[in-house]
Amino acid sequence: MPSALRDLENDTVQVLREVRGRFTNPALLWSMGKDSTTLLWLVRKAFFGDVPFPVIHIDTSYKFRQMYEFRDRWSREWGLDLRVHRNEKALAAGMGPTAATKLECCTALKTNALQEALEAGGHDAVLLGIRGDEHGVRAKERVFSPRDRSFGWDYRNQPAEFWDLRQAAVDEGGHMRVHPMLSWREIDIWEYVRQEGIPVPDLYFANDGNRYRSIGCECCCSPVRSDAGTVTDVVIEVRRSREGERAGRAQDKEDAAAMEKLRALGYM
Amino acid sequence: MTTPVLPEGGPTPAATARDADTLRVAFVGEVDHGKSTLLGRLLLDTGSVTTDRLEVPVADGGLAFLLDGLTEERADLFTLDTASAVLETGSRRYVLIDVPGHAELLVNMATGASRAEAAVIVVDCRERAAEQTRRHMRVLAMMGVTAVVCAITKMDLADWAEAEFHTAARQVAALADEIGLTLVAAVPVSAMTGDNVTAPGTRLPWYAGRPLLDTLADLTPWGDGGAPLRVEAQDVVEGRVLARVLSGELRTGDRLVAPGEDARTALRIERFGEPPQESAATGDNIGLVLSGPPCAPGTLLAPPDRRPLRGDRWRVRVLCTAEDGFAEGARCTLRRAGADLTGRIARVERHWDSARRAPAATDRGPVRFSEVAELTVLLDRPADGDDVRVCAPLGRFMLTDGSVRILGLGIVDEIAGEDRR
Repeated sequence: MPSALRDLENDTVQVLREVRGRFTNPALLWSMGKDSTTLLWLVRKAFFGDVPFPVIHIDTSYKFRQMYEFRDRWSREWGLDLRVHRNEKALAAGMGPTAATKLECCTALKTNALQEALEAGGHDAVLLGIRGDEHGVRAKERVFSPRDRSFGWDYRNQPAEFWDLRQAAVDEGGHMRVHPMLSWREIDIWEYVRQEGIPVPDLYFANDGNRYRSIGCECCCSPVRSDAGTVTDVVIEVRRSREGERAGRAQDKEDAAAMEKLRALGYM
Repeated sequence: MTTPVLPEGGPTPAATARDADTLRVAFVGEVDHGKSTLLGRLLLDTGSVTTDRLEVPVADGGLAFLLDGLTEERADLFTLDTASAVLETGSRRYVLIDVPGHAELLVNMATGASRAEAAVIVVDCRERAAEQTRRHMRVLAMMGVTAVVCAITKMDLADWAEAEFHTAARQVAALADEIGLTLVAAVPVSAMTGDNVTAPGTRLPWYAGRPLLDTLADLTPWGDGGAPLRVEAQDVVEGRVLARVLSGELRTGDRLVAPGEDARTALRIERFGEPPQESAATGDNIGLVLSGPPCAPGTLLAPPDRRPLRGDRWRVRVLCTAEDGFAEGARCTLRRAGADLTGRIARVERHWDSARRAPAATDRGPVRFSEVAELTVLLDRPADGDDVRVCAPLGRFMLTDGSVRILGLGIVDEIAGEDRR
């Protein structure tokens, strides 16, 4: 294995094992995208095939059909304790990408649904596959990022992390966001996916000259022009690309500071 | 041509703790000397960031925004918290780490710097190194970072004057000497124009050395050169110990001993989905099948002939990052690889401003924010450990008050006292 990927793998596995030791009821957030699927794969590596945490899917109901199929297939194969959460109340009231701004829609269907999911499960920690190179705001995150009862991210007063030593305490009613993939880049994920043979949804591969580089809700993702039909093609394309990965994501475009506003409210 | 301030070439490469092709480099120095801008220039000119990340033109300060991602950082033009980005060149991967320069943001600076194996000292050619540069250099030295490069910035604002460069570079060289850092090179640059950052500058004809990026190749991680084998048991899954090699190399057949237990043999070294391995290196997280019963999480395993020291009286050095400091007598926890060690601060030996030299006199008064303190910690129970010179991953700790308050980061200088082995 190339040593840089081995380093990343080692660091992530160490965080995952630490989480199991330090928290009583952690959960993993799985969106079926390449990053959280890689995280799930690393959990299986860390615990020798076992996934010792419940796996939560925050379902907006607007995801691609292929993502639901992918979820159901691999959740069965890997024997996951899968828990799907939707903000049914907001959906019943008509919330959707055309009914409100992207910020309002993401907040209702993702952030608020996550809040409900964590309360329902009583989780003191939640593992997420976010990466620092995705966005300037995510680059400011800690590996262990405490959230208070109101779900807010106090980015002005983040706790110290020295070397690989971290404080695992959270306030009463709060929870820890754990980010074991912060140091990975998009290209690292693809090289690791190729090397390990990690399954990812077909949406990432070219179909009629288009592929998705980042996937989420169908209505808010645009494909990029591409002929990359295999993982190796994607590795080559991402290595050459000067375009941003999230260029096709609508919620980032509405407002330059959208990600920061979303994260301040507790968005993943 | 003038005589270069510094000799060419760097320190002798040490055995590296991690693979030599990844190097983590922190950019440190005063507020507004241009750390974030220089980092942005390095990333932009090497094609390490996608075009959409340059949201504001270079002329309007957009380079710094590549790493200063928060609205507040952009509005007030300062770095609030640490961030990093990756740059690849040839066979090397650099993780470039930006840190804030403000004195009150020491927690964020130390968080970023503790991830680094080497550093670039960023100094404005007109203003020279001051309080924070000295502090950052001393913090780096305490953390074990020894190899540094100095970037003398904003040469465009000094009309590319050679004399300004040499004066600033000489000052940093003297400081590095005093603090015990190895200064590998000093390079005049302008992040705004890009001169001498990734390619030779046209406006610095008097400079005969290499551009900044090339000098980073001479920086080497300090490595674990000869550190003894130390293995941390993290968990147990179906009779297999989930373990991390903190230092040294583990081979199948090695004998390992835990405090108060009989020696076991490492029968198999495993990774899920991969063939069994003969050995594991520093940093590897593995599955370990041992003869005899598995050991409890947090157990520290070591070879019988090179065991850690054991004692309850630990001499440590701490950088205080708590705003209201701490004092002698306080309860404390040393969060360290493998386990949390509880005890109390039995004695403050002396303490001093981290930007200054250690004083000779004893001073048992309260330790304040951003000071370095030498302490004697009396643990509740004797524990195994190594001093930081023997085994860095085991000789480092985060000091807390036992609950949520983080008091600082520390290193172990000496382990003595009661040994009830």
